[in-house]
Amino acid sequence: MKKLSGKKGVAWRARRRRRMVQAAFFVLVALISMNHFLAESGREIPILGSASLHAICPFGGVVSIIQFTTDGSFAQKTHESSWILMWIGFGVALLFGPAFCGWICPFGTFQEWVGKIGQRIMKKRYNRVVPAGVDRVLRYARYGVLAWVVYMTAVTGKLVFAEYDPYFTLFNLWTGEVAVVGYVILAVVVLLSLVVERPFCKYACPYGAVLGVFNLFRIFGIKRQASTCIDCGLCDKSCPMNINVSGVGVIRDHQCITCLECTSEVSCPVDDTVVFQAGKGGKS
Amino acid sequence: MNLRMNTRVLAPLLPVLFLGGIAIAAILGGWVTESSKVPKKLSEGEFAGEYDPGDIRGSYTFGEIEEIFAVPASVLAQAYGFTGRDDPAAIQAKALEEIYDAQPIERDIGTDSIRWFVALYTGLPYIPEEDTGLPASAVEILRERGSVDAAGWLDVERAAVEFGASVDGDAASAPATDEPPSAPAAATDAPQSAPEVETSSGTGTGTGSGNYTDDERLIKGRTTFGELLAWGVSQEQIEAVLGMPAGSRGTSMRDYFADAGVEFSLFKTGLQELVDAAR
Repeated sequence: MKKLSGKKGVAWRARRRRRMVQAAFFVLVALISMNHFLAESGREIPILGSASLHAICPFGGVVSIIQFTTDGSFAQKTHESSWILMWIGFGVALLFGPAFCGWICPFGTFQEWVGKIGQRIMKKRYNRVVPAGVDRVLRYARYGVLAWVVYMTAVTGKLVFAEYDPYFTLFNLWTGEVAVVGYVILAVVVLLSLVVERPFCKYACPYGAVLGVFNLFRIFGIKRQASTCIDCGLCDKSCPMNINVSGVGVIRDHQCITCLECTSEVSCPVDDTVVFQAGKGGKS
Repeated sequence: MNLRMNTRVLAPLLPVLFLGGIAIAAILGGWVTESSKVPKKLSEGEFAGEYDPGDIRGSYTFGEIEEIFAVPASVLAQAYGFTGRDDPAAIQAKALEEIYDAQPIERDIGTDSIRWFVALYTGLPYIPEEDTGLPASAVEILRERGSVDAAGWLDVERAAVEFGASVDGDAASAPATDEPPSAPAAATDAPQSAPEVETSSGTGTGTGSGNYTDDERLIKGRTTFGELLAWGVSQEQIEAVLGMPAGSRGTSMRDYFADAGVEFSLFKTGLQELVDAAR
């Protein structure tokens, strides 16, 4: 196999690094979820953890915030582990923005994998089918989902979102714990992923909505140097979240997932033009 | 000063931050992924200081119940029809709900049934929910053990449930499929017609997130105060029925009444009437 060299080689290796991290976390979560199922029937694989999916989801901490601050308890099925993951997630987001979404979240990874099939089918039309005006409004729908989930969890003390959560469904397909509506939503997300990149992340993910806020003040940000930019638009085309990178100096869009696809390391053809850095920099 | 980051740094750093954070939390004892498996102890009465069977959770295995309450896992397995299992100690209480929900019966056989059976087997106090059932095989074990007094037998017989098909898909024989030779009369009659049974239509059976529909607004032990409020009942109305402050939103009826040391059944009807009126 011919080894890529130069700029293309750097980009290829950068993409591979992210995909390897994504795949590793996907496999890890799938194994833990499978082992949780096996543990319930006494067939647990030793060493491998067998926590429930709720226990290893940082969003469980987010939905428990109100209950925890009012009576010191967590929503049903969530535990201290969710709380710890939430704070780790917040710390990482404060540094790097929603890197959890772009690098770790197994459901984001799953959507990307399905999207690869969509790219082959749709070719250049892939991820470009939703009218801009509609898309712009829909991007805020996930804050509505977030508000509903946090409110309902606080009111009932139960994980109301689990029934609808396609991430929970995906990793519990074999358990019989999934509600019909969960299967329906997962199927819809899979179908949408064939035409839109990461549709659940863009329009419905409540945890992505929380982490997206960190883009407004994250320490490391994606910055574009207008002085060296050649306006080729490759940064815009490479962005899975359809962010207009070429139009701004610093990316503060709440939808950025810190995948670094737009940077000079990956897609931008000019060195040191779109960079991920702390401190000053980035002028439009 | 500008500090730049790329994938070469971020790729190893992110797993280190997440997994390292988990490792540190685990070392400090904060990485808890499941509820405590130590039930509360009874605080009053003759059995004060004993573990409370009412605090058995769905995640408890028969083995853990054996350790805590000295009810052999093999007896629990026999009572609930898991006779074909090699390792009954590994069966979780909530497994009952998945299996018995598929049965055409009008009583719930789940974690609450286990709580009740353990209480009856050990002689510890526990008041089950009104629609909790006991398989005829469990009733037979209790009858042979002789740990239930005459008054208690009336409730047991009324709650006995018989099945016409196997309940454990993987080899266990059905409880009472072969009619126990000396099962209580009520168990061998038509237990589906047990008096005052609230048909639950599969409500809140422990799977999924427990989000109720309009038709499923039935007050049960696992119903939280938050759900009551969400169903349109005000805190003042609840407290008027209870005659004392309501629990926090996340507190279940079972936990609340257990903590208060009063019988849930005394208030269930009144609370249900509030829910029905609020529809």
